[in-house]
This record gives sequence, structure tokens and C-alpha cells, in this order.
Amino acid sequence: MAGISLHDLISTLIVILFLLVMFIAWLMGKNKKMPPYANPEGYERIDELMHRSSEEGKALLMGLGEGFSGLNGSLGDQTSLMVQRILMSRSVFNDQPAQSYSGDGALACISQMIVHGAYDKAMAVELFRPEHNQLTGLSGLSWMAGLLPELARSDNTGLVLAGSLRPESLIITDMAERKEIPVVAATGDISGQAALFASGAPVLLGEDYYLPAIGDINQASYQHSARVLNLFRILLAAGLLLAAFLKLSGVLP
Amino acid sequence: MSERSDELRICPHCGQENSPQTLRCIRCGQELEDLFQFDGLGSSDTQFEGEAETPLEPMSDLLASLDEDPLLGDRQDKEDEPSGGSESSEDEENDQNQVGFDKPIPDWLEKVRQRAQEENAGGELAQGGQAIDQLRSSDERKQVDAAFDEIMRRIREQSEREKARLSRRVESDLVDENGDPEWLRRIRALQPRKEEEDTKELNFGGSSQDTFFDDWTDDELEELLQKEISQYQAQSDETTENAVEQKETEPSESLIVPPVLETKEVTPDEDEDLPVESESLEDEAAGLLAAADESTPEDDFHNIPDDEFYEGEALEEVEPLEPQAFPPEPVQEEEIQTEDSLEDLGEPSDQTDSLENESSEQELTTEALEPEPEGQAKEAEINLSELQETESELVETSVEESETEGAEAQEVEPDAAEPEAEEETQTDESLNSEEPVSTEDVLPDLLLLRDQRERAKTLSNIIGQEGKRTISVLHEDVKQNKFGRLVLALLLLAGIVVSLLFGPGPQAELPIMAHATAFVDNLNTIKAGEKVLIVLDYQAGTSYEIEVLSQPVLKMLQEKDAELQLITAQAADLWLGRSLLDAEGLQKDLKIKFIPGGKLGFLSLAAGAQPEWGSLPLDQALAGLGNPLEQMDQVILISDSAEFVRGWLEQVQAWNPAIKTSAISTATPAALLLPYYESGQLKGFVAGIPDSQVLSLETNLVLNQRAWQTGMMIMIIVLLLGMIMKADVDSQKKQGEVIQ
Amino acid sequence: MRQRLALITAALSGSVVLLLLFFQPVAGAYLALVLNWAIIVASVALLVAIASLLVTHIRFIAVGRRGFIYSFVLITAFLATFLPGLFKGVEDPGYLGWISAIQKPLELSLLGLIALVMMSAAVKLFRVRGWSVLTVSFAISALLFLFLNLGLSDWSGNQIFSTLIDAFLRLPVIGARGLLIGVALGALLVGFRVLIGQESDNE
Repeated sequence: MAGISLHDLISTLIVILFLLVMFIAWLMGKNKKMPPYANPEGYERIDELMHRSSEEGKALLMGLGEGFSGLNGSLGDQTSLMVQRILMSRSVFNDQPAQSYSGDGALACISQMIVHGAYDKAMAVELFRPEHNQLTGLSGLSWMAGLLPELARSDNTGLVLAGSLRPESLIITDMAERKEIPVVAATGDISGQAALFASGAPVLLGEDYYLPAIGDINQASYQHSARVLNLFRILLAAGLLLAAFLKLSGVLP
Repeated sequence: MSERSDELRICPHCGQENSPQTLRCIRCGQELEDLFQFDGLGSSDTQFEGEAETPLEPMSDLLASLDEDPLLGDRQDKEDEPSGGSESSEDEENDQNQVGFDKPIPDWLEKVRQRAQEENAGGELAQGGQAIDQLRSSDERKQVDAAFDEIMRRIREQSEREKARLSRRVESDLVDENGDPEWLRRIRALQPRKEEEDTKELNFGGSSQDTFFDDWTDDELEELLQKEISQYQAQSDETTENAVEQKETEPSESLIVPPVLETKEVTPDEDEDLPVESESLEDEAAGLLAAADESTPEDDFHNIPDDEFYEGEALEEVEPLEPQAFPPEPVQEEEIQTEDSLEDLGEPSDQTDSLENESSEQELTTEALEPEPEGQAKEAEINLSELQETESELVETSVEESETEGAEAQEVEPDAAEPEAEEETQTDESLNSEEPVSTEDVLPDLLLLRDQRERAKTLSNIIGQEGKRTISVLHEDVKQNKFGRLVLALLLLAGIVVSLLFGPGPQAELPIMAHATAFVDNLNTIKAGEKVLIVLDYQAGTSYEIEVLSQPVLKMLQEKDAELQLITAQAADLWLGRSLLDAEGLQKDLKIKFIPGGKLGFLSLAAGAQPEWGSLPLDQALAGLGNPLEQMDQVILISDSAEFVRGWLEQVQAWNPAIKTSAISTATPAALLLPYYESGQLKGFVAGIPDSQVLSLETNLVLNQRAWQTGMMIMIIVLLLGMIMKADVDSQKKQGEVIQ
Repeated sequence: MRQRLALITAALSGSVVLLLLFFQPVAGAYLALVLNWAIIVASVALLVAIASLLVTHIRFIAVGRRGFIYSFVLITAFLATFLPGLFKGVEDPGYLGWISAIQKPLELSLLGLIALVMMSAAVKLFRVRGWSVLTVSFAISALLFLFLNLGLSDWSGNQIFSTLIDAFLRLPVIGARGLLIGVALGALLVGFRVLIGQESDNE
């Protein structure tokens, strides 16, 4: 058996620290005097899009990004599925059903299950149609190419881009702007965030993407997660400063 | 498809199976009525009285409840036992209290009851009751029933016609003139927004017609009721001649009933607290109006807005029950009622007039909402005190109560004409804020089953979020300037075309990046015979940029006689890689191996081990190749995605830290690869055309230098233009503000 | 119950993979086995998704839905790609060249469009987002790097300029490092939430 490497030690330390921070955040959460964090703006916009879709009776589109099965995606795509679940739970009875488009087979199947589950939960399974949740391509650009014609339809009320998005996704937001369809972009891909920032669409920057709280939904989880992240960020910053100091003072090799 | 076929509802029109919560048949659009009929729960009356629950129609229930009216029961008892009426009503009261009305009795109610008992002991109330009994002969009862049945029949017919009209309309017209879909209007009708409720209460009768156009409006019902009762009155003039002698009780009964009825209908909590004695004289007429109110079937969806509407009305009528909160209003209302009573007393033979007064009561009540001068309020107090001697005891009781309240109010605010109005508004708001529409508070028989609760939860979530501010269309206020976009595009194209026409310029003086130098240095360390794994992960769109950088690297490696192996997890790279390998000077026998499973496949190759019990599917797919990650000296990632490089470094390379990893990429992900280069996880990387210099490539061979520079210049100009335009707009705004 | 089962399965799978990764030296074979299962499931999911797509479009054609001509194009393109690949093999140079000749121009033109979109986005950036620290710093850094990449002059001769430029060029590292840490934390958090089953408790 190979010995435990420095990598293993560091990762174990991080996990233990993370658990500890989660516990501290949980204790802090019990203090009712602490003001709650405001929802990330992008998710607030998604909330508004949901209402808009209900009010206008038009379809809400959702682009789920290009990967989940490991070709391009990362764990962050799990968040896009959570966003989809929240979104679907509020748009099951819309006049026009929400439409989802995936760039990967596994992602398409799992999101199909989520949509079906939303209808099942609302006891309206007969309203579920598989065509409302489709695979549109097997790579980033082919997924975008599949999504663009859907934007051109007249009965769309908005587009939510959530998942693994490349910088090239800017072309989707541009198309939506030209069609006067509001877009909200949520991605864990940093270069995607940077490119989408140049568009007019509300974008979730940094780790905000991993904290989905839409309206009142998922609030408890969001508040707890945000607290954990903030605490952990402080710890990491302190650790980095300490390491830099030790390095400069010659303690560390 | 459905997993709940046992709960499906069959459309009576076409036989289509629908989900339990579907409002309309998904095939024919027929309205499915029993959405809000709660399973296993009958009306509260039947439950309270312990009667067997039979699937009666809602109207039948209503009629049955009329038959079981305490007043009628009282009278029947009196027919049998003339002196035992008060006992029976007391028994009923006790029964009701025992069955479910366990709430603590408020002080005022206790006083009212006590006084009623005292008066009853004096015989005045009993005398009044006996007079009513004499008035209502059995013939009269039949006529009333007949008239009532006629009303019900007409109401049903009209309701059916309405439904048929709606179902036809829904197919063709799902959206109203405001663009609101049918379902949304229903939801809004279920729980109107606060401001709508306010408006409804203030407009009283009129708003219902606007809001719930497909329901029976108040006015319609009133008109229909009057029409029917007028007919009945005309027919029964002879019978009612005897009633003239009973003029003291009759008009007051007809006038006071509606408020109490509405209170009773909507707020059972208060209703439970009301003394049965005070109700007993009014129940018959109350039942009549209640039946008219519930003109649509009980299980009809459209009935709910009606309930809510009356709830809004009832809230105003309930106000006398809370003397502290609403001091002035009851005085005005009672004043109107008693004035009417006086009029009726003055014209004892004209019952039709009393009915007209009843119909005009709404107007009067509406007027009562408006603030009255102080003098009028005082006058009302005087009138009321005079009236107390001549009115029936029931009226006296309510008036006395109101008088007390009015007096209290005047003590607090003796000259509050305008404050009264303000207070009214405030009290309305306070009522609204107390969730007047809460079905749990209002209708105790609306207990929800579990699935119904879930359904209700979904609906309430939708309702709760309804009406929020919606997102604005991007640049809604700014017209899309397609001309400007075209100009920009033409500018860019023209610049590039012109620069291409003028040929390549001098060698570009691009800064040489450290990571690119490191990449070349690492490449130079590769010796003959070393195994180099090349992982392809790029798309057709970026293939040109990638191939420009990759081909020289592959050539160098072949020149060094390194052992190359190419793998990919993207199907597209099978043909893209082929065009990469088709370049001049490269070995033609190189093959690209497909690794199934993407990152998972790479992880399996890196971290997994060959099991002793046999080979795994992935091993079989790579038969003849073996594990490409084993015994590799170098890995070169050729990718246009920073995510892929990151994933490889963090998940695959971590298992083989001895393998040196470098990357060839496009310019876009360069910034995100820098931290990995600085941490040593990447030995170096080249990203995009600017880094091509380090590969001993003359930039002019890779790209047209002038075109490159022109493109960059145009981008700089455009960015500056955007800033200048914004600054200009801001300054114009400021100037406008200054001028204003 | 069904939800709980799915939740337990997800939490168990995650925990098992984590444990196997941690004890990889002794559990490598089992890790490979579990990952192979995941690969098979993902591959089958891809087939299912493609089949679903085809069935949907065949249905559109069958019922004559508006715009069914596009469905017809899709089915035709799919068959034209799939059948030659099936019969000639995915390593046939002619087949690969044919596919490549279609895909490359399509995607390149899409990327060309992105250049134009970027230009118009640059114009609209301030109009849409207004003046803020983020937009101003974004614009300054964009201008700086565009200018440096113009290649108009060689700065290496001047020591001061060279040092300055080196410092500027290292700016992205700082930002990227911070962002990467944030994203990694977020991903770690999502992983924990999946493991402890908090993800399914959102409703």
C-alpha cells in the first residue's frame, strides 16, 4: 500500500475544515439576529422570469449547457439541474410548458427525469411531453446551434442559461436580445462568465452560481451555504497570508 | 402515461381521461366541475346534525338546510306545542355549542344573551315569535317554497348557460383582452390581490361585475330575487294582509337580515358566537338570500370568487362585532336600517315597499361607507334612542349595541368627520392584512386531504408569486439599432479586407509570455523513445487556431523520435484530428483512439486498476492499446476548453504526478491556465496565435499581421466609442435635469 | 419513498466513490468497476437521448406539425451521418473528411459571428451596465490587453516598461486564482450537499 501523499493530507485537511466550518455556520444560523443574505441578482431575475412566463402565458426556455457526463462539464452542472427543478416546479401549469435543451446525453436524460418529476409532483403527468426536454447537440457549439432556432419562435417569454457555458454562448444572448427575449445566464465556467458579462444579460459571477435561491425557494440552504462559503473564504485568505508570510520569512522552504 | 390512472376523471362530455386537478377536459375543453369538491366532506350543517351524508346536489343541500332551519323547526314545534318554542331554540343552541362551537363566548354576546333571556322572561320576544308564527301559515310556506324553487331553477339554468358559453369560449379565446390567460384569471379570482380587495370593498357592489364577469353578480342576484319575490308578493297579497298587524317585526326582519346573513355566510367564527336567538327570527329570509348568493353550484369553481366577494362585503358588516376597532360605522349603518324601519312603520300595509327598501339597502350601506358629519351621527343617536321604545327587541338589542359603540366613538373623537373616513380606510386595510380570505379561518368544513393540500400548496405558491414585478425586456427602452450594428460589422470587415489586400506587414512585436517559453523548454527536454500522450479535445470552430499551433509541435516530436499516442473522448475529434495529422511532414500511420466516457474514462484509466477477476468494459474497448496513461513520460493536452484542462489536472494528473503535463490551447482560456502554470501543475502552455512566435514560427506565416492589428484596433475604437457614448448620454441627462 | 430511494442511492454512490478514491491503492479495481458502470450508464443515456430526439421528430413529421420540414431535415441529416459511419466505419478517411467538411465551415462561421457580437457588446457594455467598478475595471483591462497585443512596438528594450508590462500581464493570474478558489469552494459545497441529500430537499 502506497503511503499517504501530501495531496491526500491536504485534501483531508480541507474536508475536515469544511465540515467544521459547516458546523460553525449552522450554529451561527441559529442566531436569528443575523440579517439574511440577499438572493444573488441573477437568481432573482430567474424568479421574475418565471412570473413573467406565467403572466404572459408564453414558454420559458432553458439552456442546460454542454455537459454532464464528463466530456466537458463539471460538478457545477448539478446546480443547473437544481435550477431547472425549481423552475419546473413553478411552471408546470403555465399555458406554454417550459422547454429545456441539453448539450449532452446524460444531461438530457436526467433533466428529462426532473421535468417528469415536476409534473408527477403536481399530479399532472399527462401534461408531460418528452419533446419539451431535448438533446440539441453533443458539443458546446452544436448545442448552441440547436438552441438558436428555438429562440426565434414568437411564443417565448425568456431564456435561462444555466450550466457549463463557453464564452461562445455570447451569441445566444445576442440572439435573445435581438428577439427582445430576456436572458439570465448562470454558469460555473469562469471564461463563460467573463464573456457573458459583456452582454446585457444578468450574469451570476463567481461562486454565486452555486447558491441557487430563487424567490423563497431554497432559502434555508442558500443562507447556510453562503455563510459556509464566506467563513471558508476568510479561513483560506488567512491561510494564504500566513503561508506567504512564512515563505517570505524563510520558515517555509 | 399516467401513473395514477385510478384517480383519473372521466370527462362527461367526451369520455377523455383527465388528471384529477385538471380544470377542463384536455380534449374537448368541457369544464370539469368538482375540482374544489373536497372528498369525504359534506356540508358542515349535515355533519353537525349527524345526518347521513348523501351525495346531494349543492342546491339540494341548500334546500334541505332551509327545511332544517331553526326558525322553521321552531315554528313546527310551536304548531305542535305552542308554548315550547323557546325551549327548542335553546336546545338547538345548546346542541350547536356542544357539537363544535367550543370557542369562548365574548362578553358582549354574553350580555346579549342574558338580556334576551330577561326579555324572553317578560314575554315580549315570545309574543313576537308567536306573531310571526301566526303570520306564516302553511299556505304561505308552500308559496315561499315554490317561489324559492323557481329562483333556484332559473339560477341553475342561467348557470348552465353560462358554463356552456364559457366552455365554448375557452376553446377559441383562452386569453382575455388584457392578455391574461383563463387559468390566471381563475387564480386571481381565487385570491385577489390586496389592492383588488380594497377596491372591491370600496366599490361594494359594482366591482364584482368587473372582476368576476362570469359569475352571478350581486346586482343580478338582487334583481332576480326581487323579481321573484315581487311576483310572490303580488300573488300573496291576500295572505299578507294579516301581516299588517305584525308590522313591528316584519320590516325590521327583512332589513336587518342581509348583514347578518353575510356575516354568517363568510365568517363562521363570528357566526358561531352569535346568539341563536338573534338569528332565529332572521333565518328564513337569510336562507333565501343565502340561496340566491350561492347561485352557482357549490362545487363550481366560479363559486369561489363569489364567496370571496361576499367576504369582502361581510367584513364591513362584521364591523359592529368589533366595537373598539370600528366605532363610527355601525352607527351609520344602524341609522339607515332603523330609518328604513321607521318608514315601514309609517306605511304598514305596503310590504312591497319594505322589499324595495331592502333592495335599496345596498346603496344606503354604500353611502354609509362615506364619512358623515358629526351632526348626523349625533342625530342618529337621538333617533335611535327614540326608536328603542317602538322597535322590536331584536332591533333594539342591535341598536343599543351600536349606540354604545357610537357613543364611545364620539367620546374619543367628538369632531372626527374626516378622521372617520381615514379610520375606515385603515380598518379596511387592517382587515385585509388579517388575511380575510383564509379558508381555514373562514370555512371550517374546508378541511384538506393530503393530496388536495399538496395541490393547494402548489396553487398557493403560484398565487403567492403572482403579481410580482416582472423582468423588463432587455433594452426595452432602447430601440435595437440594427443599422449601427451593420455599420460596425462593415467597419470590421472592411478593415480586415483592406489589410489583407495590402499584404502582410512587418513581423509582429508581440510580447513573449513566460508560459509559452516554458512550454518550448519542456518540449525540448523530450528525448528519443520517450512516450508522449496527446489528448485531443477541441471543436471544429477552433480547429484552425489549434492546428496552427499543434502541427509544428507534432513535427518536432516526430523529429525527436518520440513515441506518440493520440487519444480523444470527443467523437468529433476523430475526424478533426485526422485533418491535423494529414499535415505535411507527419507520420501517416498515427491513429486516434477513442476513450469512451469522457472524463470518467480518463479517471478510470488513471485511478483504476485492472481487476483480478477479469477485464472491464473499458479495457475491452481499448484492446490492443492497453492503458494509455501507464508508463507515459509526457502528456500534451490539445484543448480549446479551460474546463477540460482544469479537470484533467485536478482529477487525472493528480494520480500520476510524475507525468509532465503541458497544453496547447486557444487564446480564450489562457488566463485561467496561468494559475496552474504558476503552481507547477502545467509545465507550460501555448495559447492562441500570440504565442506562436515561441514555436519558431514566423507570425506572418500563421496570420496576416495587418489584419490582426486592424482587428485589434477596431476593437479598441469600439470599446472607447461605447464609453464616449455613455458619457455623452449622461451629460445630456444632467443638462436636462439642470434645465428642469 | 421513491424520492428517498433516489436520494439514498445518490448519497451512497458518492460516498462509495469518495472512499474508493481515498483508498485507491487497495481499492483501485473496485474504483475502476464503479467508474465503468458510470460510463456505461452515461453512454446508454446518450443513446436514449438520441432515440428520444429522433422519435420526437418522427412524431412531428407524422402529425404534420408546423415546421415539420425541419424535422425532416434533421432525420435526413442523422441518417446521412449515421448510415455511412455504420457501414464504412468511423476510421474511414473518406467518411471523416466528408463530415469534417460540413462541420468546420459551420462552426467557423458561428465563431466569426461571435466576433461581431463581441464588438456590438463592447459598444453596449456601458449603456447596459452603466458606470461601476466592475465595468470600468473590465474596460481598462480590455483596452490594456488589446493594446499590448497589437504588436506595434517592442517594449523589451526598456527595462521599466518591460517590468511594468510583466506586472500587467500577471494581473489575470490574480483574478483567475481568486475566481478559481471561489468556484472550487462552490463545487465542494455542491458536492457536500449532494452527499448529505440536501439537494432533494429544496421544495
